[in-house]
Parts: sequence; structure tokens; C-alpha cells
Amino acid sequence: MKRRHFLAQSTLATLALSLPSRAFAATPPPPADKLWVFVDANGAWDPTIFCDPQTDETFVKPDVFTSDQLMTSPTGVSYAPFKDGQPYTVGGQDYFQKYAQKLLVINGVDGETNNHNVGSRNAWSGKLGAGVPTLGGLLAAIHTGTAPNLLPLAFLSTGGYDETLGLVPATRVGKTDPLLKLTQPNLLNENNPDSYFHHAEVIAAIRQKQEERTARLISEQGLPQIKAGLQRLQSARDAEMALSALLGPLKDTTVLPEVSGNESPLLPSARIALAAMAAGICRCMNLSMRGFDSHSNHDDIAPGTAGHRLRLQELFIAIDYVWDRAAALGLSDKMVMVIGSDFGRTRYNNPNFQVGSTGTAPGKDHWPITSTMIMGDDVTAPGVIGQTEIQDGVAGVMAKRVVVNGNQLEMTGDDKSPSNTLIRQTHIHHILRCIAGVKDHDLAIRYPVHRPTDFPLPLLPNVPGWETF
Amino acid sequence: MANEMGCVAVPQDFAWTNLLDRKYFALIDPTVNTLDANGVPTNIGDIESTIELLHAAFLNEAAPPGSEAFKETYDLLLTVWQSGLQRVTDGNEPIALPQRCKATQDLLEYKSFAQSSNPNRIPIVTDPHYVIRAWMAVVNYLLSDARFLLN
Repeated sequence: MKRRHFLAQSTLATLALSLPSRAFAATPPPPADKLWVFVDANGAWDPTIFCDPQTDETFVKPDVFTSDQLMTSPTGVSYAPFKDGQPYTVGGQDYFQKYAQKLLVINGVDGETNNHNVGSRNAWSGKLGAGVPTLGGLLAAIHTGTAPNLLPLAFLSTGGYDETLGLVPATRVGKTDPLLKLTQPNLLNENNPDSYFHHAEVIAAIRQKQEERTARLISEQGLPQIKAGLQRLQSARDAEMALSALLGPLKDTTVLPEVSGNESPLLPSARIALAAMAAGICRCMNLSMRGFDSHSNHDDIAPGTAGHRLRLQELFIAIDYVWDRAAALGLSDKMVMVIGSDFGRTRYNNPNFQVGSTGTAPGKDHWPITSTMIMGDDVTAPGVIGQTEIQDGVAGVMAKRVVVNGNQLEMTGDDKSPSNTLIRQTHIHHILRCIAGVKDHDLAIRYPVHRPTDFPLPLLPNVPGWETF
Repeated sequence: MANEMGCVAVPQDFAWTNLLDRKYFALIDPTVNTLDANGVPTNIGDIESTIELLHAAFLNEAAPPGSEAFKETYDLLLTVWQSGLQRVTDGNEPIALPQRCKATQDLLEYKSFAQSSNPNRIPIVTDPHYVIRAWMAVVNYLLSDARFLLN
């Protein structure tokens, strides 16, 4: 191996393991003891065919579903079937029935854009413009600040908007084997303890001497940048030790049996992230699944096609897997899950999309109004909030404006005024920051998501601190 | 990566039969492991030169005997050497090198040394005096140092 290659690989490994060198100026309030799961329907989902169902034929063809096929959960969420009048099924149960008691659906969310990149950034950072980290990254950084070197995989991600602005590394999760190797870097075969490169006592001696030497180099170093680099390297070495904790849960196939991506492409990554959470070295997982930008394939339902409902079914399967395994691991009581997308979709296009050189198809285009779902024990008033309506001559659903009445959110038919607002990602992220207990943390303050004219909404009125930004 | 490189590269260097062909360990005889009455290796001069060479080669760092950098590396070498030899003597660690570390073939040509274009090498598969493994530890230590990784 050439030194150049060695350096490149070593640097990557170091970056993947390294922890931020951020020093917090004051002692911030500790974050709530939560585990966060962000499920991203990347490409812009269509709430009008599941959690905000529309039965107007300009939105939904009768062969997709009809008004008499709509269902209602015990908490009042109206939802559409998957196909043939049958619900989206997870583990043999209707998703919306199974999780009714921990599910809040927020309809009529204004995504404020039709651009995928901007919409995804808005959905996961809470702000349209650049310069705010994804919430998972922000929370992972805050947790890492309270437990230095103990969270080497604080933020695991499969993609989407996972920008952390350097606060914390976003570790990409894919296959299990490379991670297993990272947990045991001194073993050629992680299943064989005798396959070591160096005897365990030799490794311990090297580590000890490295610590001594690095401490000396830090004390002798006068340049802050080099000093910071040395400290990061030492943190990465410490984190390497914490990473070995991943091995146990990942190899425990009784609780976390091997999964394939056939049922849902998110399952293998979700399994790794759950193992990391069980090992106590991960706080946030970002499960981003592509395939929702369906356009002309929107209504396809045959297996193997690019139809929107097929992707939704896969998404719900992954959500169910996370909750089911989190319960088995004893993690579900402190788990918060946020499910969202770039934005929503329009009515069927008129005229139809051109497909190939001769064909056309009634696809659905980008539309800013969307929905978001929050799941977990913090959802003390499960059900649905927010509303949409259909207006003639408008390409998609229109969100109703809301007003605050005490700690209640009420719909209003009034025109735009300072006392009412559309529900936006800003409001959702504010409530999520409140759930996380980080609203007043200096990092959260450094990255505000609200505008001067915004006011907070009681999306979850029992969550402390929602009243003020 | 440093684990693997330390394990692979050091026995490969010891495999050269002509000492002048070795890049780093021309002065080291893996059968010499004796200490004098003061606990200093009898080949201390050769060890000092080798440590200086390794620091210069891997870290571009001067490590003359007596310097802090030298002392740290020397301490590591001696610690690993003596504790390892004790484990070998007690039967707690085999004489054989770890399988992956054995030097038996040319790593570029994938041929045994005898069949390679540089046949003047002998297989290095055992380390009865723990000298090779002690130097493996030193190379591991240097390859995972900040001056190597971050310079």
C-alpha cells in the first residue's frame, strides 16, 4: 500500500470516528434523554393518497381509491388505503390503527418551495435557506458535547439533507461488515479473536504510549490549529474504544436478526442504527429513502414498479421495524420519530406528462403543501392537526391558516394577518427542539429557524417551552 | 490500518538476507535480545540508530537518543519486547507470528520469495525472541501518530 493511499484511508477513518472539538462557552442545559429517528421520504411524497386523503378525481383516480374506502383511526386520523381498499399493512396490522396512540399527523404544512434540495433542507433543518444543520446533526452535536468520546456514531445517516455544518460527523450506514471491522480494528476476522495483528497487551501498550506522546505534543504546541488537530486525533482514538460497544448488539441476532432490503431498502441501515443506539453510541438516525419523485409513475402499483404507494408501503414497513425492534431493545419509551418529505404533490397534471416520444401519463408534480408525522410517547394528544382544502384553479391542496387560542391550535378562514399563520417547518422544528430540551442550548440559539414575524404554535401543547421561541 | 501495516511491513523487511537490502532494520538481529546488568539491551547502539531512522522516515522528526521522542519509542519497544518474551516463555503466546504477519511471499508479485524476481529473501514466520513483534509495535505506533496522519 502506498503511503498516499494509507493516508487517505486513515484520514477517512479518523474523520468518521472523530468528534467535534467544540468547546461550549457556558454550561448549557442538558438535552432530554431521547433517541431520534428521522424518516425522510426523499423526492416529495403525496399526502393526498394517505394521511390527508383527497377523493376529488383530479387528485385521485377511482382505481386508486374512492371516498367510501377511506378509513379513520381511533384518534381521528382519516387515511386512504394502499390498494384495493386494503390499508398499508405492517406486521399484519393496519399501520394507522397499530400506531394510532403515538402518532400525530400534521396536515397543511407549507413547505414554501417546489425545489427538492431546498424543500429537503427546510424539512430537516427547519429553515429554507442554507446555514442551519439538519436537526439530527444538531441534536447529535449537543449530545456529543455532554458525553465527549462516548458517541462515536452520534449521527447515523443514509443520505438526504444530513448537513451537520461540521458540528458532528454524519456517519453513513450501509452494510454491516465494514462497521464490524471498525469495531475490532486489531482483528483480521472479527469473529475470530485469534486473528489479531498484535497481541492485546501490545495494543494496550501502544495506546498508552500514544496517549503520553500526544499529551506531550499538545502541551508543547503553540499553534491553535495544530493543537486542535492533535486533540481531535486523541478524541478519535478514545471514540474507537467506544465503538467496540457496537459489536454486542450487532451480533445479537436474537433481538436484531439479519434483515434484507427486499421488504424495505431502509431495513439494513435501520438495524445498524438500532444496534448503535442499543450500544449507547448513537443518538440520531436519519433514514432517508429515495423513490418518491414519482411523477408519471405515480399510480403504478404492480410489484417492481416505481409507483408512489409501493414506496409508502416500504416506508411504513421500515417505521414499523424501528418501533418493533426498539421495543425489543427497551428503547421505544425514549424514541421520537419524525416522518416527512421535501414537500407534497399536485393534482394530476393537465395536460398529461409526455412519456417517451409518443405516450402521455397523468402524473403528479411538485407542490409545497405537505404533511409531517411525529411519533412517540411525547405525542400526548395523538390524532391530526392542520387542514387542507381544494380550491378551483389551484394545482394542489391549499393549507388552512391557523391561530393560537390559549394552548389550542384553531383553524381560521381568515385571510393572512399578523395573528394567523400557515403551519411551516419552522413551527414543527420549534416543537421538536422543545421535545429535545435544547431550545435554549447555545447551539440551538446559534441556529435559529424562526423569522421575526413568526409566533410559536401549540402543535404539542404539553411539551414544555413551546410558548416562546 | 496502522495495525495491519505494522504487522505486514516489518517481517517483510526482516526477510531480506542481505542486510543492506533492508530499508529499516539493517542493524537489527532478531535473535539478539539480551540485556546487560543495568537492563540495557546489549545492542543499544543499533536500537538507537534504528529508532532515529524510523522517526525520520515516518514522521520527519529528529529523535536523537535522550530526546523525549526517542525515550517514548524506546520505552514502548522495551516494554513490548520484554513482556512479549515473557508471554512466549510462559507459553501464553506462540512463537509463530500472527498468520497475517508472516512474510512468505512477495506482496507485489504474489509469488513465494524463492520464485519471485527478488529471491534473496527467506520466510519469516516465527519470532522466538519477540524482537520482530516489538518492532512491529513501534511501527504501528509511528504510523498512527499525529505527525504521520495529520502532517
